[in-house]
Amino acid sequence: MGGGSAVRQYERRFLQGEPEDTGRKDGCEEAPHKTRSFGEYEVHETGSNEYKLIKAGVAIGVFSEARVEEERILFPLSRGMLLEVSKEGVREIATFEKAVLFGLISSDGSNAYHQKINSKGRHHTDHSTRFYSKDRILIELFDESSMKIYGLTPHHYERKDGLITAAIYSKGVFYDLSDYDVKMGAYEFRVPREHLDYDGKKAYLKGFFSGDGSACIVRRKRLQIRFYSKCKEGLEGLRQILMDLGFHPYETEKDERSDNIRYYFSVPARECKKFMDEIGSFKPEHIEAFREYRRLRGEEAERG
Amino acid sequence: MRKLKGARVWGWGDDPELVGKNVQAYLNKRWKTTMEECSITVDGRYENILFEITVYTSEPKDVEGFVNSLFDAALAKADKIYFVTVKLYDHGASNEKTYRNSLSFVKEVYNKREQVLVQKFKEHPEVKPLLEGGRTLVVIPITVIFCELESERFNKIVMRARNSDLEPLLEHIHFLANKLVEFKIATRILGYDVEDNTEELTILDLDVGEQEVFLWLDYPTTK
Repeated sequence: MGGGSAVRQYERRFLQGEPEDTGRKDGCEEAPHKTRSFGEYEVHETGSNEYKLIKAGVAIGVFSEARVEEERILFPLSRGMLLEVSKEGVREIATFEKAVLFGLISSDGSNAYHQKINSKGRHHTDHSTRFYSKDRILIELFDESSMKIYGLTPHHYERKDGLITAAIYSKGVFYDLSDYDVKMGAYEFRVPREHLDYDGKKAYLKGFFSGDGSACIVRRKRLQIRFYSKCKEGLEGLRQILMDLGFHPYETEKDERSDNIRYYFSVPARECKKFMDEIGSFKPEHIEAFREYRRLRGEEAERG
Repeated sequence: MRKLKGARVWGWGDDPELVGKNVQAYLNKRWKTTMEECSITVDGRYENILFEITVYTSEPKDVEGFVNSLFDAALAKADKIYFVTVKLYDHGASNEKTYRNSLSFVKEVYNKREQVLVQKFKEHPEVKPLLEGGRTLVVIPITVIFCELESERFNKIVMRARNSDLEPLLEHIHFLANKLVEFKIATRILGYDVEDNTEELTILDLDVGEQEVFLWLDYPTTK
């Protein structure tokens, strides 16, 4: 995955400049303070507050920061990604912000390029990553994520009806997001499950739900939680990560009118509270519906 | 009598300013004198309501401005507009769509349907034991409402909305109708209709409260 020279790929992934040409001499330079093993990988914490990632005796990465957990170690990479080292091996996973951004773009965003011919007859390619919403809070969330992950402030275009387009014009951002296939076409999205850990799955779902989810009080008493999309495969991916988190989403339903099909699935009523507590939403209308549902449940409990 | 051609001319993620232009460009290119009517549909979602607005015309020239207004009306209360589609027909397709019942008729059909469904599902093996403690059964069936509008510019305007609760469905239909009148696309509502099916519906979800059992009903997933 990824393009460019080996050194550039290494820089991008590990943020640490050129790789060591051999890891064997590293072990002689300085005695490690602590060593932890995860399957075929070892992590050495050195006296100079550095962490060396070693595979088969060869240092494959040096990091100045790490988050050590019981079952894994996380190293910060560039562009909102982390390197997770565990017994299962090594993989790149999304930070909370990046997983939210993936979710937002999968639901209400786009990641595309357009070829144009300018007045001089020259071909020119515009790369853009956009997020569309009438909800200023979601636009601000997209802006904050963009700033934190890429250091870029999106441009805004607002229509008179309130629809706001937040756009990032960057080839780098386009290719970064393309690497994870989060939005392949106008209607197609894919859940990057292999790049999401437990918290990442929650964050992705929260981002997606804020765009293409609904939380409504039905008959003034019950909460209905649904995910919508035109992309059935994408919805199946969402159902799968909900199941990974211990939910039991219903099968995907469809609303078919001639050749236009829209799909949706529901979260069972018995799991609405779990959804509110563990996933939630950034969308103010959803948050209001959750608050109302908690109030109704409180009243019901008092009566009981 | 058949649909001759059709295309999606706009989708979420495309520039909203292009909606009218794309529809007009498609019609300019594809409309032939042998054709009798064309339809332009805007599909969207507001909260848990999926809706469509379709306008039918036999005069496809100069529709760009109207289509932009149609899109604005739909977007005025929508979380998403999925797509805008154009279809061409060799016959008056709008004649097949007539929804001219009164609002009270629709409410009556809806209430009767609800009673039929309560009778049908209270004996259901999953439901019956839950009602033994004296709980009431409340059914929440998937419901499709239609609304026909009169227009000076178009042969016919039809709206379709789908949700599991009548009240918000009608509220949304009336909001859209008012917008269409405000934007001078429609002149008034001609009538309504509701899908009156009870046979195909199956249990989607079930929630047990202190005094009630709530039953969400939808079409089988294979439909």
